[in-house]
Amino acid sequence: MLKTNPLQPALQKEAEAQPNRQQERLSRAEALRERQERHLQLALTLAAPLLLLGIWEALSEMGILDPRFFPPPSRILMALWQMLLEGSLWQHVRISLIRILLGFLLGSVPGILVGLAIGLWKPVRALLSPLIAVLMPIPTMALVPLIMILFGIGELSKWVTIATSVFFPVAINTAAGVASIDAVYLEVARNFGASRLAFFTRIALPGALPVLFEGLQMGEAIALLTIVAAEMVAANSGIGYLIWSSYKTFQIPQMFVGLLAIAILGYVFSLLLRMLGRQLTRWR
Amino acid sequence: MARNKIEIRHLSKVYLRNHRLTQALQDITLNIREGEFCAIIGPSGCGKSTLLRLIAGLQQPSAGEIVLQQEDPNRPPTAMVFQEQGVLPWMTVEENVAFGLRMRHLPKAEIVRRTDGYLQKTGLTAFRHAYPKELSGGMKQRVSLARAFAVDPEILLMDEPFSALDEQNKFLLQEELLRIWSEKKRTVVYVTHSIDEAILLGDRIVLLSASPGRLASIETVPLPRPRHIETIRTDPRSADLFLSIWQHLRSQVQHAQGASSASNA
Repeated sequence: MLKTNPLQPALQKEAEAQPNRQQERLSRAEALRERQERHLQLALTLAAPLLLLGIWEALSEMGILDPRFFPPPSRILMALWQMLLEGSLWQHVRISLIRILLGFLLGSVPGILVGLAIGLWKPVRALLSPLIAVLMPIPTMALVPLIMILFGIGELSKWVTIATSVFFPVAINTAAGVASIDAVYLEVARNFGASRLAFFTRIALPGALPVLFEGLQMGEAIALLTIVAAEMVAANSGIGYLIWSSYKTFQIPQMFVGLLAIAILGYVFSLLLRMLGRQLTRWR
Repeated sequence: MARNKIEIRHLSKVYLRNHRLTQALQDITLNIREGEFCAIIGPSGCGKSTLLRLIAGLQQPSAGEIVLQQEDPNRPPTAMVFQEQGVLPWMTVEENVAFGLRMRHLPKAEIVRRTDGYLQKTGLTAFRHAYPKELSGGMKQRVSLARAFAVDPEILLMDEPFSALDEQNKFLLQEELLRIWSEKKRTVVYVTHSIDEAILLGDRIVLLSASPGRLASIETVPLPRPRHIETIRTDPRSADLFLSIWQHLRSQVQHAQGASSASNA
């Protein structure tokens, strides 16, 4: 962030001119040791899943694990390859992806707005927080029949299902985030004449952001849970449907491909969310 | 003699805390003149911060009134320099200094001009894109000063702005404050618990007594400006003033301690 002093290189050279070999050798040894440690850690991180897959492969080939229920990873990979070639995997992944993204937006945007309002204004808190406290414990899956009555059996009801499950943790964490803002910042805003809107966008929203993002992370995890469950009971497409229908038609390798797909999807989604969160709260 | 800028009449403030009434301020009547640097000093818990918040309009009086003589409707009546944590952590130094100007919807060119000017004056230009977490306590308070001065308020309110700083930084900032203030003498109400600080900065020193906060006495500082720490320290008049204020404060603090240990028993 700071401009380096233009004199700096010259000064450094002068300092280095004094023989300081031992210092240099020591720091090089230190750097080497640090690098070795990092490499070892990376190797261990990679070793765990590879080893597990190796054992699985061997046990399944030897028949110690029943290959009908636990096909060797090589067969799962083959199934994956075939489904990629057919394009069926991409179709399921795409439809789930769209449902998750739309549902997530549909739930988190109102969640943030309602959370900010609850955090900022006491009357809104009195009005809404008991309602939310009562509705939140209902598992979203229990609402699926009602959602289908209200929104039909098409895509809309899937989006609404995800949105409902995302809304609550986001709203509650946003409200908690606003509550966590130091009171002096609210006084600063009032003293310098912040309007309602500026108060909302420049104080409450950025101040609540760290806790708000924890809510988004929770919402993301719950969205994943909900979409798979919803697709198992009330859909004919998507990753959840792929897993369930593969199981029912005894295409176990395909079922494992579905599990792999949801794992990767969840990992990438949460990674992106974390990166976005870190970018937006660089000031911390 | 300059006319009154702030007129405080029979001001009282009562809080309800844990179902018990606490009297923070009792029947304070005080006039602060245009362009005056008024220091307010008193033992902790005497309600001096409350007085400042009442003047800023952040709280409402329970009884009595505060009248601010506003001259220019385009200038904000007050701007506050808060205690240590007043800088907004999610804004850069530059955004913090520009905050008040943005809130007042000034033209962009004017915002840039004033922000640049006060960044320069407070020595923050090199740090303009830094976030507060990267700054020392002294730097943060420079941001707070620059933000308040930039909106060009008619009255500057300062709530123990340097109390959390180490002594060397405090001296530097006090001199910087005096330098910036002397460019365009605005009315200042400066709350402090440091007698030295009150003598160095103030034209008059208002002494409050402890719980409830009442006006105890008003001292005029007989020292010429511009003032510097070196000359103030060696001036015998400031030593006399220090002693008389300390004698008052000592009896107050001892009284308050006696009262609190009695109520704790």
